[in-house]
Amino acid sequence: MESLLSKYKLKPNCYDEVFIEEEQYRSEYSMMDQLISKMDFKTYKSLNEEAKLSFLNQGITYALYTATESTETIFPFDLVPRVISSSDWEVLEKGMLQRNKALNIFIHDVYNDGKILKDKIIPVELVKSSKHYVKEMEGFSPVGDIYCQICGTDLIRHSDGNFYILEDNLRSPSGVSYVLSNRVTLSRTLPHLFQGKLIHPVSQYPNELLRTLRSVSPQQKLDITCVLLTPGQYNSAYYEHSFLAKQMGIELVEGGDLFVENDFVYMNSIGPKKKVDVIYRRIDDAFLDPHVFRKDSMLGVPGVMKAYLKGNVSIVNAPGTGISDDKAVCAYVPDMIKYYLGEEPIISNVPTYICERPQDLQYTLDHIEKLVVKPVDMSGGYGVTIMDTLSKAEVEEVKEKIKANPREFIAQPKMMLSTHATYIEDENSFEPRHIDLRTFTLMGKDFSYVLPGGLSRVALKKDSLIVNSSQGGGSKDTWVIMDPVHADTHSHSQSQSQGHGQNQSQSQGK
Amino acid sequence: MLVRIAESLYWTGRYFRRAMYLSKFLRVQYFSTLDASMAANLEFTLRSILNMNGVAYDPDKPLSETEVLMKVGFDLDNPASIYSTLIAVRENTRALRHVLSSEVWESTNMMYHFAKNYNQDYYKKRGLHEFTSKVEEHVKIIRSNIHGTMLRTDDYYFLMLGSWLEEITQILRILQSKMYDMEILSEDGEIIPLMQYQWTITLKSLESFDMHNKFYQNNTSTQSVVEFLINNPKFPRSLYYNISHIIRDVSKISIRPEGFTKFIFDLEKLESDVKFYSFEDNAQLHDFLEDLAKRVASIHDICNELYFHKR
Repeated sequence: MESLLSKYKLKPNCYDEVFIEEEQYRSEYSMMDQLISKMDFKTYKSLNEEAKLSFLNQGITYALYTATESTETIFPFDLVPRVISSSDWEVLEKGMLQRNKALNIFIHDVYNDGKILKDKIIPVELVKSSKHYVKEMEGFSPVGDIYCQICGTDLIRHSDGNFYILEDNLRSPSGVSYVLSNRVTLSRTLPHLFQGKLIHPVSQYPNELLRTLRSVSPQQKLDITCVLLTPGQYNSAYYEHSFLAKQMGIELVEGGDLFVENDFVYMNSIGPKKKVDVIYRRIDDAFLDPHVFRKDSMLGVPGVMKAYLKGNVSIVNAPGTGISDDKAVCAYVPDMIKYYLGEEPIISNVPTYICERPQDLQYTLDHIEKLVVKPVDMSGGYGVTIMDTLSKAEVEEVKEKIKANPREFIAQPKMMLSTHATYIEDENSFEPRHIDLRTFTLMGKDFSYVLPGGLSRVALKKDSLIVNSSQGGGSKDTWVIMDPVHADTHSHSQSQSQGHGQNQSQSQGK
Repeated sequence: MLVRIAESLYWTGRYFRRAMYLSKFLRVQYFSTLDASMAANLEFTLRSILNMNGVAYDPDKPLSETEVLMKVGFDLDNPASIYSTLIAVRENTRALRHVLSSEVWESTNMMYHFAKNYNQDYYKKRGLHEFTSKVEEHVKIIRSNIHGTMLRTDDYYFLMLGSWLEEITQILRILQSKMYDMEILSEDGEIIPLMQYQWTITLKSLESFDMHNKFYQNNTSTQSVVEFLINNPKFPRSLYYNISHIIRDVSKISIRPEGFTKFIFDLEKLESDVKFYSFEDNAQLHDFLEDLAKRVASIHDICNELYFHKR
């Protein structure tokens, strides 16, 4: 039988997650042997189709917008999981917590004392000129001084084998629902892969998220009402909104379902009105409150900002966190970590040239062919330009754009994202494709949590470095292998609960 | 419960039942033309299908069979086409995903994808029977999932309120539209067997044919059909049965705004009028159905006023 991976060719100058060299797996990928020895292409293909149908029927889809229409698409899912070793994860987890701690202190500092700006660690203009700076937040401290309760950080593994941070998403990072559904789908489709493996579970994320939301309620009481505010079912991430609301058992609301009375927020319910304590909003600042932000917003809740600033309701994430979402500000996070925590950053940033700085601008213009140019405030992979793919005339055009408006751009060296064996339907074979990793970090009052693993996104187009779903990316289940200490406690508790189950069934039999 | 959610539940209940009746009526009507006694009456049947669907047409022009089938099956410009109705079910359940059991959501989603991916060319040529039967099957799975997996709280009762009300509306519509057909046939001087055949179609459209025959031991008359469909307490497709159940379920809604007691009183009055109806002649039946239709339509307005307005 032809092995599924016998024709797999490593991509030169890239770190491959699965193979050290051809036909030699990294130790954490030992389960690949099982996958390969027991399966032919025909079986694999039919399992692949089964997984796709399962996603479609469950309605795990996202809307893709083009100039003229929007279509509902399955987020392509690759059955071969990405595996992170326990030692790698230990470092990543610590790094994420360190980074988020610093980011939260930074946002509080910017809107209050502004020490880091006064000490000229970060140029004041860079922060205050950000489109996401919210003047109304000045002098206000949210519950627990937490601004960014949910943070999605994108990392890549470079050809040197190290992880680097590409960017942080501090507004409303999405993708976590795919982490959970990928795990469910994979375990249903290829259960034998999981046998004998101890993998960190991901299913507790919704509970941890609810715990986070409840911890930042303006009042601590038994009956805390949290809601998830969605722009509605035509939003590209609507599936995730309804999924999370359902998992947490909280109400999924649209702007029109909430109203403000005497600076308190209520739900438009049949029967008596119900007061809302925490709003987990999945709409941008601009649409949150037509009294304060965009007046034409139909998605928001008039008066909600006033209720928030009076401390009557919590908004998660806080308005104005987008200042650190700005890719130019992101470049300063290592400086923030040193300044606020007195520590060295555990995970490095991808080196970033901030075009607003004259010397960086000069470097960018001089070496532009080797760089990747990004607008500072766009997400979803939009506007990212990999310069060595452009014609000379196009390069000149980008240069002119940067010169005209340097604040709007950053440049980074072209990082070689690691590759991972991925099934390519059109070729009916496994090929190396570039992947990244989006981690999800929660920060509540007096507690924090990093979802083990995260979302591994894969660029399905050959040689493409852009993994975003809106640009033809897919995803993989992401496993974090438990270290032996964890594994011991895990198996112990499992056998205990199994014993309990047996008792139950025995007593039923009597 | 959010006002928006209550309203979406109600509409979900209405649309998924509607999809079932539209499919059933279209199939039974259309295939009746293949039967000898109706073969000469294709045009008549196509008009009957359009009437039931609420589509206007020019009575002076002959109808195209394919156009009628598409208009009622897949036309997105026709809000009452089967496909439009399935989209409406899906739009509503999408907004309710966090409220419904995953079984209910997945079965409505599957129904939508089935219709969306159905080959419309095939439907025009040979697929009508398959398409409409499959839609009915999907609706029945949804119904079974609602009964089997939803918690009996207000969510469920709003869903059922819509579902019973749609059922009542559709039974009435079919009865009224058949009355109308028969008036035309009698004006045209058609023979009695053909008019009798219309009652057969009516019973089949309401999945009542064999149960009716069993109950009346094959003695079919206008009186037997009408009484079976209007006030038989034991048959789930009778108006009386459905009105009793709407009362049963509305009474269980925990939130009772002002006007609720009167709402229940009006429903009970309707129930009693239906329960004690006895057939005299076609004219009396015609007036009775017309009055009933108006009162049933007002149930929707009352629900709107009681529950679905926003502050």
